[in-house]
Amino acid sequence: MKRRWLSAAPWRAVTDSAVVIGLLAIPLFIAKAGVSTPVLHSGLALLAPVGALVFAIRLRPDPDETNVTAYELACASAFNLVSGALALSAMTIIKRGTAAELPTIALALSGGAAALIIRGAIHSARRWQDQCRRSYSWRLTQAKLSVVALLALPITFGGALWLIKPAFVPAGFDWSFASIITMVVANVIPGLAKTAGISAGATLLALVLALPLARISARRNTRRIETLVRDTIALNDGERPFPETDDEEDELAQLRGDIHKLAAELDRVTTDLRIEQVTNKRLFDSQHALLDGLANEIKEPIAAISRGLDELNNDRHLDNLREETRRLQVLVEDIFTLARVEVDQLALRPEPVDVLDIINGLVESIRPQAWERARVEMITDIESGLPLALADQDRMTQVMRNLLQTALRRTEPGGIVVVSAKTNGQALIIEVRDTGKGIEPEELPYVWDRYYRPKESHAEGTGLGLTLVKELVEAMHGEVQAKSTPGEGSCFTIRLPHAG
Amino acid sequence: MDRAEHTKKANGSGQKLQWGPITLRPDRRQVRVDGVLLDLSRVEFRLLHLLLQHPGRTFNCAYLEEIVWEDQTGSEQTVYKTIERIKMKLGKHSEIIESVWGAGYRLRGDQ
Repeated sequence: MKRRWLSAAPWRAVTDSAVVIGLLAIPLFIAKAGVSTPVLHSGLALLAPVGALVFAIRLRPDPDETNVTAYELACASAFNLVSGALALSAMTIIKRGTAAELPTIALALSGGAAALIIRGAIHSARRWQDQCRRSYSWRLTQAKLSVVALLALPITFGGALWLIKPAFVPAGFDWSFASIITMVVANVIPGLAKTAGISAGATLLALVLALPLARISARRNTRRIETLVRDTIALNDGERPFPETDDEEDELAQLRGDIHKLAAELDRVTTDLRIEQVTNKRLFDSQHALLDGLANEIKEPIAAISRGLDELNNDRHLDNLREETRRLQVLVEDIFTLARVEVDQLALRPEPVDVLDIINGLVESIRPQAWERARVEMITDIESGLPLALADQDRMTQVMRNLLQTALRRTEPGGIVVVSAKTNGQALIIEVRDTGKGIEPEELPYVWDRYYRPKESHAEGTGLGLTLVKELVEAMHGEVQAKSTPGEGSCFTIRLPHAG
Repeated sequence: MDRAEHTKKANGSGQKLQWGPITLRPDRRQVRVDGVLLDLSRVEFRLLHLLLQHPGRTFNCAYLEEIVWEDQTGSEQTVYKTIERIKMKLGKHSEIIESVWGAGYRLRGDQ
């Protein structure tokens, strides 16, 4: 329903009003034989203002609101052309030898002006509504004024009727269709128009007189609301404390009290949070410090033992000790790296790295042990002319060592571990494949988890190795992937970005 | 694991082994393919026996050499040649033994 108002395109509004004018003209044409020519002309001339009303309440507001006046003038002119043309051509058709009087013709041509006046009134009403929406004191003013209007309208209308005493139904009326039309055009409409005009004028006068009073009275009532709003804005800007009471005990005073309580609660929670934040930060810092201290405390003695062992003479027991110390060193390094990754403290220095060097170096050093301990063969399959990877040299070594150690642990005696490296144009792809027992598909997603160890595994290892691989590779903007065929072996893939 | 243990394992149990069309009877040192008796040398039999004990598992050449040629007269080249001979004797079933990355052999796991 609401969409019917002020929603039509200009051509649509003009058409609608023309249709209404046409419909209203039909009774005049039907009755024209029994109606005098001046009455007929007056009736036709009156159709223009009626059409103007339809047009004004149908036409939508200027869509882009850039030039409202031009839009309204253009639309009103278009309407005036149509309604004027309609009224004048109707008059010409039923001329019957008598020319229409000048005022009648002027009325017939007044459609556009009437439309502009009505549109102006609609615009003013909208602006007034906007004002009321923005300001509570204006809303109160409107409420007071509407009481004035509600009282003034019937009183002034009744008074005007009594004063003018318009003769709507003349004496000796014969109730034929033609005389009803004549009565409406010649008596009812002029009479009503005169009465309504006087009544509207008087009401308007009453409203204009009442406006200052209504305004003053409204302002008195809204002053406390304005103070409350000012205090709330100040509260938002950080001003404390929020004034708790005014002298009244009404809903506004209640609202003020509630805001005061809320502000106090907000301050309490904020303070608590801030304290917790400081505590957390202190805890975090102390953990960093602990990590650094612990790392040195553990690494230094091991390094000292390792150095001491190197200086002793060669002996099988010493070799064992040396090997165990080296394993301990690697393990400690892994544990602390992982802990640093977790607290985001790991310093990575990404640089162009030749993975061929890393792989070859590691395989050279691990291959003899792999054969000696487990009869596992290690082979490499590296594409020639491989581009450099963007990675941290030390961390990348750690990653590859862990992958190789994990693969060795999975592989049964007599098996094979293959390290291959190739590129797909965008990334470097390094694969470590083994011929171990493989991983069941349902276990595969968990191999990267901390402390994960394969089921029925008698293998040594902390279960941290693959977690470290994943964390480090992802920290170097790479990806990891694990595939496996149970009974045949597994394949661990890492992808690293090319350097440059 | 040390070598003696593996040797025992490879020659150990006298149970009949079957994999696809191949049947191996350790007690009689007999291998039949589709019921037809194969004429295998001692190392060929030992090699096939080891593979049949662990279908799907890969053995690298150096390991095979160490386990199968106990007297240490073998070499990786010997392993390769022995495998080729076994495959030839298996005839249309030669595909059952497959090479893994050129560094070892296994029985196909999907039989």
